[in-house]
Formats: sequence, C-alpha cells, structure tokens
Amino acid sequence: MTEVSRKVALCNRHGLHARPSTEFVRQANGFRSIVEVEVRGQKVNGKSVIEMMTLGAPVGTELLITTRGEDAEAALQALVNLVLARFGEKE
Amino acid sequence: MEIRKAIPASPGIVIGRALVLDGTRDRVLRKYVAPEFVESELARLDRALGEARTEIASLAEQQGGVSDVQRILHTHLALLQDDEIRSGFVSGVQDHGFTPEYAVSRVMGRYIKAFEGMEDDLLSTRQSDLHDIEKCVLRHLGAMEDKGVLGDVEEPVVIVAHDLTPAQTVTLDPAMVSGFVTEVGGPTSHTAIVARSMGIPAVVGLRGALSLVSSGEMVILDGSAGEVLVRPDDATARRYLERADRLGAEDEKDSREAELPAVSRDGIAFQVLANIEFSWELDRLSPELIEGVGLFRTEFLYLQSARDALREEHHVEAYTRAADVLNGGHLTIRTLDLGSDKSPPDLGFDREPNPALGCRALRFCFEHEELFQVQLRAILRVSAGRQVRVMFPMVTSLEEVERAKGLLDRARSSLREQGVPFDESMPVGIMVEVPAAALVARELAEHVDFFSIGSNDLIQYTLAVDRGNQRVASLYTPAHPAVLRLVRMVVDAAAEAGIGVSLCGEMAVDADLPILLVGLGLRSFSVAPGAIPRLRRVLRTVTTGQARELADEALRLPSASAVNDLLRRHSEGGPDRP
Repeated sequence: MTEVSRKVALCNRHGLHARPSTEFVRQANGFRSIVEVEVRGQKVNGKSVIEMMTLGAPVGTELLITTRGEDAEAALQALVNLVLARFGEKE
Repeated sequence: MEIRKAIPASPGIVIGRALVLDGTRDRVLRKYVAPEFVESELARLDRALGEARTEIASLAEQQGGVSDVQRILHTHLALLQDDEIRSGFVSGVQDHGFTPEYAVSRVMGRYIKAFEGMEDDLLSTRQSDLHDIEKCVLRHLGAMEDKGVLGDVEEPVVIVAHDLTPAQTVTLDPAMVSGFVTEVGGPTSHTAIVARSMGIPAVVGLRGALSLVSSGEMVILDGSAGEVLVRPDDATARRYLERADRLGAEDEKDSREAELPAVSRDGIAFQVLANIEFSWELDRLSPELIEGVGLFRTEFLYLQSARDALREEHHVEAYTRAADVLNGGHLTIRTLDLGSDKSPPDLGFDREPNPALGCRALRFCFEHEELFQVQLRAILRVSAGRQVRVMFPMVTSLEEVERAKGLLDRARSSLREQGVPFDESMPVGIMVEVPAAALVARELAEHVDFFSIGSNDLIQYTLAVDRGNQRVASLYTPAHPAVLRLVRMVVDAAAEAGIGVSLCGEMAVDADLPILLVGLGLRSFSVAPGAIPRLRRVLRTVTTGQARELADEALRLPSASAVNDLLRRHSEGGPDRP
C-alpha cells in the first residue's frame, strides 16, 4: 500500500468554491486510492464535494493532499496538477 | 418612490411589474419512523435521491448552450452523489430514527450553517447550492409541491427574490421575464450569470428587497448602474423609458452596422474570423458575422481528464460540434498548445523552471506521438465533407514543420488503411508566433498552405516580456518596430509564396493598430467573438493606400513610442487626412 503526500497552494482566484471542488472530486473519484485533503489541521475526504467546500479555502491556502492505495502516485500527480492548473479556470 | 442602489449584475434598463418570489424555507418538522419502517424509509430516501439526480442530470443536458448554468448543475449533481451527504441522511434515519424529510433538512441545515461564517462572497454563494439540493430532494420525497416559478403571469415581469436557484432559472420562460432583482449574490452569483447569458438586466445583493417590493408594483431596473426604483413617479418613469429606448436604438444600430460587409473605403474586402474554445461562444453573434473560425483552441479537451484526452471520439465530437455551428465557414483547429505552466492532469508534463521556453505545444506532441495521433486522426476525420484546416502552434524551424507534417501523413495512412474518409486536401498551416519562424517565413511558406500570426506570443517572445507579470507588463508594446517588421516579413513571405496569412490575437482589437496591420498587408484577422462587430466597423473606416503609407512610415521609426505618436497624430487627423 503506497501513501504519498504533497503540499500545494491554491492559485485560482476564488479558491475552493463550488466548481473547483466539484472538479477536484470528479478527478479524485477516477482513482481507487483514498484521497484526503488537509487545511490548517482540518482533514476531509477528498472524494466528497461537500467536505471540500466546507474547507472554505481561499486563494493562497496551502492544501496537504494525501493519497493512499495502489494508484496513489498517479492520483496525487493528477490532483496536484489540477490545482496548479487553476482547475482549468481562465483568469 | 424609493430608490435603492446595489450591485449591477447584467446591463440594460427595464420598467415592469414585480413578481416577488418569497424564498423563505418551509420548516420541516422533526418526526420519527417506527423501527420496522426504517428499511422502507431508507429505500424511499434512495429513490428520491436517484430521482433528484436524474432531474438535475437532464436539466444539465438540456443546457447545451449555456455552460455556466451547466457547471452549476454539475456541482449540484456532484453534491447529490456525495457519499458524505448521503451517509448523513442515512444515519439520520438509521441511527436517530428520523423521517427522511427531517434527516435531509437537518443535514443540509448543518452544512448551510457551516458556510454562514465565510467571508468570501463566492464561497458563501455555495449556501444557495445547498438550499437547492435540499429543496430538490424534499420535493422528490413528496414533501414540497412544485408550483413552477412564474405561475400564470400574462406579461413579462421583473422577478424579485431572495435568490434564484439554477433549477428555477432554467425552467423560466425567458419571454416572460424582463429583469431580476435578488437580495443576495454578487457579480459572479448564479442569477448574475444567468441574467447575462439571457441578456436580461439584473441587480443583485439588494438587501431587504423582499420587504421593499410587493408583487404587482411597478419597478424600474437599471442593470448598468445597479439601481432599483420602486413605485416610480410619472416623470421618473418617463425619463427612464426614454433612456431605455435610446439604449435600445444604439444597440440596434451597432448590430445593424456590424452586419455591413467588412470592406475598406477603397473597396478592399477583409475577412474577420473568430477565436473560440467552445462552440457556444458563437451563439450570441448573428450568423452574418461568423465568417469562420481562425483559431479553435483545443486545450480544453486535455485539461478535463487524461482519459478523455486520449479518446479519439471525444475529439471528433468536439470538432464536429464546432464545425457544424459554422455552416459553411471554415474551422481552423489548432493542435495542442500547452506547456508545463498549464499542464493537464496525468499527461506527463514535468514542472519546468521556464515553461514559456520549455517543452510545450509541438515539442510536447513530438515527445508523445501517440497522444498527437489521436488528435490528428480526429481532425482528419472531421475534415470529411467539412471545411476544416489544421494549424500547428509554436513552430520555430523547418524541421518541425516537416516532422509535424510527417506525423499528419502517418495519421492519413492509418485512416486510409481503415477506409475512414477524410479530406485529402485539408489545408495545413502554422502559427507564426516565435521570431525565429518569422525570420525564416520565406522558407517555411513553401511547405504550408497558410500562416497565422499569433500576435500575443510573437510580442511576448520578441520583446521578452511576460504580459502577466506586473513589473514588466508596461514593456509589452505591440507597436514596437521590431514586432511590426516581423509582421511585415511574414506577410511578404506569404504573398511571395501565394499562401494565405491571417493575424490572430489582441493586436487586432487594440485601439489604433488595425489600420497599421492593414498597412502591413494583412487582409484577414481572427479575434474574440465579442470583438468582431467593432473590428468590422474599424476596418470600414480604413483606406488601404493610406494605411500602407502609415505602415511604411512606422516601419522606419526607431521606437514603440514614436510609432504610438504617429498613430495618435493620424487618428486625430481623422481617416480622411490627405
């Protein structure tokens, strides 16, 4: 069982609002690994839109993404990339 | 008369009667189920959840054109599929013995409360998403009746509400709604987005709106100023009516004139194409204004999911959709133009210290030939029976052109082997957006069917300026003689070889630059759809002979500021200057 983590800062203008949370969860659900996201000590299920939304994370917030499972590496890479790509938002 | 000011959300003036939608939440009473009914109640809950998902999914599907609304609906769907939410509902019934209605209301109420403290406007607009979900599930549990938003109004009304849910707005009859006023929300709230996409004036964030207005009262809405006038007196109403008429007349004149042919004063015809990423971007332009697409960006196909990016059918669908909107005009598809600065998930982009000069666009495609084949085959397939052109970005050398064309040949032969039809003479072009390509344009011209000058990148690479970097942004000067001379080289090379050349980028929508570009020899432009009417108007004021003289003079000048001075003197002199 692989477990990997990485920190990444939110760089899209509006932070983790509904659409980015939806996109994050959609991609997270494409992997078998468990996905957890931690912000300021609050840890939530990265496959749950509502939990991601309740983080209320604005731009600049550092997310600690942890993935655990057979495809943990790929899941982490994809999710980090998504955050860095500003969830595909144009700004 | 009462005048209130709030947030302007969608421009325009409207006078009409209010329809107040009282959005207060019906309280669901706490009730319990007997233990022997827990199982059947859980089944009822899941049935309602399933029905709610189906409803939202089909609403999303109907929303083909308006993608922002669709995105909101996708969030709702994701919430309805959320395991944490569902297990909250289930636990309410299973562990506490609540009715599904109360369990739903309790869980959603708790999440709604969690958002209450958040400061960011956009973050707190999520509360309305949760209200929507709650109402939707409760309705499917049979707890609430769906009466329809408008009831039986007979004339267009101004809707006044606490907030409008996306589900409400998509079921509205646009012919019966002339404006929106909401108590909450900001410029990016659902109501604002929907109003703008419907072209209806809206004012949002007007606190206390529900107690200010009653249904049937007259209201004036100025969506540009963010003003709402309730029970206006006659003189005020008359004044606003006149303003509304005048605004309407100007809009009409603009759009009427925009449809005049884009021809210079001396009778030279121009081509004005659109830059798009999604086919719906063309929805708001009249068909006369859509001559074709000079730049169809395909990055969106890669940014969503790696799995979809590798599905040929996914590409074929997207390209077909765009080509079919055009009916007649050509669609120029630019192949993948991404770098590590905007890397798609899982496609193998590594972080790079200098993405602008890194492994991007064609360079990346050469490293991932199989990924590139998917796109090339899809483009070829869509070319069958349609006017499709393919365009390679970020070309810097002849070898790259040859290699890209070689890969296109490989895609052609694989399709031929499989007996799949495509247009054998599909034009192949390149973006000229790197100084190196401009400097060897004459050599490159012999190997391609058209050039497209990508002015944004050409300027960035020529002047070594990242326009997004505040500290150097002022050095981004499109009128720099270095840029103008490169453009002239490319245009001349294309003319010598007898191939087409077009310019796409914001240089063509800059204030005084279009005339200079015409003077440099350009006759074809590709710009954002919203900029098309204006560019066509500007081009109609140009005389090509004069433009040529102006450009020749500019090319001899030593600096961007000297060119800008020249342009200023010219525009003050007016287009008829001898």
